[in-house]
Amino acid sequence: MKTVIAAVLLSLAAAAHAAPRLGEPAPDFTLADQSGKAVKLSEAKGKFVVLEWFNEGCPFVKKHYRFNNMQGLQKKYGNKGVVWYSIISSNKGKQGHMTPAQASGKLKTMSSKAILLDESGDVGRLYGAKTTPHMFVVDKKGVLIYMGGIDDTPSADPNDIKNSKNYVAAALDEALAGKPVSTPSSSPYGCSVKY
Amino acid sequence: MKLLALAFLLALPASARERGHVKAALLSSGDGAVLRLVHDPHWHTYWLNPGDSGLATKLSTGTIEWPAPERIVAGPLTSFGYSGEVLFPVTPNVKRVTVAWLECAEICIPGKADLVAQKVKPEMLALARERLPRPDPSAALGATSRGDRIVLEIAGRHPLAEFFPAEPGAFEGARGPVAVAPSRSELTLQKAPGASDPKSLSGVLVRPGLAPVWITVPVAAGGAAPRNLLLAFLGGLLLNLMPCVFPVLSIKVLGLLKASDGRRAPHFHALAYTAGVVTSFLALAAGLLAARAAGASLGWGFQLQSPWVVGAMAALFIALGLNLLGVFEVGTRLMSLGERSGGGSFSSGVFAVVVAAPCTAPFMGAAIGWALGRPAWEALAVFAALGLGTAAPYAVLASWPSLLKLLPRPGAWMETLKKLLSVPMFTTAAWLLWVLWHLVAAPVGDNSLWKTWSPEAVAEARAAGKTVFVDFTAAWCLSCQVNERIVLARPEVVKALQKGAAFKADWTNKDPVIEAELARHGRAGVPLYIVYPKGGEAVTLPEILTPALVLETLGEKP
Repeated sequence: MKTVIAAVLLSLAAAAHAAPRLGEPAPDFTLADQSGKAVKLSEAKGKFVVLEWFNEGCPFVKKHYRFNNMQGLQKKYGNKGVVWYSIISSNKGKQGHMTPAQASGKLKTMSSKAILLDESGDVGRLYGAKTTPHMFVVDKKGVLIYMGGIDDTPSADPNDIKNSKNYVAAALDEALAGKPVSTPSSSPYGCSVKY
Repeated sequence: MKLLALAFLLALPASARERGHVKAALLSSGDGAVLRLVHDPHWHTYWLNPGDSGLATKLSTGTIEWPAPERIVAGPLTSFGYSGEVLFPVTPNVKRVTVAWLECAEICIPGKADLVAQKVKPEMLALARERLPRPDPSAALGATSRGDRIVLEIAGRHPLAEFFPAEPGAFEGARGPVAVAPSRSELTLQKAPGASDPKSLSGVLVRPGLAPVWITVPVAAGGAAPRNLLLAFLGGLLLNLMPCVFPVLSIKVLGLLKASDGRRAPHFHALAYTAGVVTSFLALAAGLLAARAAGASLGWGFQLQSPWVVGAMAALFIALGLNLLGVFEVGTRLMSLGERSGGGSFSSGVFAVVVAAPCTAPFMGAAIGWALGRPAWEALAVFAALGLGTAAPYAVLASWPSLLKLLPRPGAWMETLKKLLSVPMFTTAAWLLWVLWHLVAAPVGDNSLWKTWSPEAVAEARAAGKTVFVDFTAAWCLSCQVNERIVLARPEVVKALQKGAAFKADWTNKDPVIEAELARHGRAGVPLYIVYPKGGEAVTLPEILTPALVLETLGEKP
């Protein structure tokens, strides 16, 4: 009986669930950015946050960076107060892995707020990040409102971008206008995250 | 191998297009075309549903027909694709095509080739077509949605069966647990986060030794199906016969016999007692669900993982036993609390659950563990049904005192019965003391056969090419003990286990690593038996083992 009472009390104290679920608080985490500064997701409360799983060597990531599609989104929504984090979950020695110095250099070619380094893959697993890119959007209250692919065209060909519907842009546009997100999830596509 | 040899015999022209790590060629004979992909070792391309990551191979014109894929595992991610040499029939019979694919080993590279058809003998086409999965409506028995999982039921016992869902993004790629029964098998598919509930399930079913088949089945809404609720109710009824509960219930019924003359408001007492039982079960379940939602490492049987609880329970059962022997009379008040007031009946319902609790873990642990894996309201419904079943016999007797006339008249035999009933009480107490001893004493150490389980030890043994058997057990789990004694200890089974590696994961005490592993296999409690065949994927055995089943799964002739 005592065990049960303790368990109930424990549950009242706990806030977040383990797996990411739409409409529920996004799992909180702390990661070091390219300058070694600790970044905590919940510190961005009050702002929209985009989490982008990133691997510079992956052809699907290249598809969106070559002609500045991703950088354009980072800049456009950054100007509207959206916090954009690019997260690297590649393990040491695997494709896409970066040291803080390499990430600092890379960030200059991007318009993300920061590159977060997740060498252990813990945060990637926490979010169930499968591919690069794999996108998550968190609203001002810290609730997950989008998860899935960057757009509706699974391909590595940059020429496909102009004919694609960008789900992240759509989710941000709707959410910034105070509307519910019409496509809150899609299946992510890309290279596997190199855990 | 046969395929490779045949292809060689067909003397493929050397002009096949080449790029990166995958060679592509378009082959054609009079009546059809075939796309041939040859992958360098460790490189693969993807099926129509690439799984957790990747991209399906595409043609500029025409349609690919897909042979059965294989699972490609990279850490926590699993994709569906091809390695080695693969033939894809193409319709219609195209003479020229651009094919685009994604080739991946550790890294991924997009591949593309403009292909012009090369003439081959018709045997090549026939061979390619022969290997395509054919629709087989009889292979699948049905599919049921269960919370965040879908259970696909197939005919026959196929512990190594694999299913590849065709819908991209709907399911996690990793192969889920397979549960086998004599004439059917259940494959578990984990829904991808955010994916909507599918109305039907289609894809390729691969069973070793049989040709791969295409199956399409409607997905039945799971819910607390009436069947499950009925089973829980019956389980509750059965609980009354368990050594923990039966004596207490008997004493209460004897109490009714004594007082059967002109008692008031029998229905009210029956209802209060039922409410007490159901409320207690719901409280237990709600507490457990809440703790699990909060990430606590608890499963059913958790009540037996604290030495204090087990010690207190043992003391209680000794007291009850002594009481029945007539050594002292205090406990009678507890057991017959219900005689005076509604509140009394309620608390005697609560008491019934308290004494029943130790019995639910060993006898119903697996069933309850299953219920706990379902959505909360569904799990609670199952527990409520369990409570109603537990309360039913007494409630019925109390409500209709005329039924008591069917029982023998009160008399001296009641005292004898009481003394006899003390036996199960002491037996229960002895069992609890045995559990307590295991809880406080150090866990059973390594012996020659059974090694202490850890994920690393299993990975190491598998890497060494051994067949691995894992026994998730606990001292308080009766079915575990039964299986270990009458199946796993048999000489022929021991001999088979000795050829590979055998691990024991002891969950007598709380252990978050074991808890996580159980959860990974969709379980909330023990027993759980997993076999990793040499180089194969995990197979989950049923809760009740037979020597033949174990031997067969280990690859021995029973």
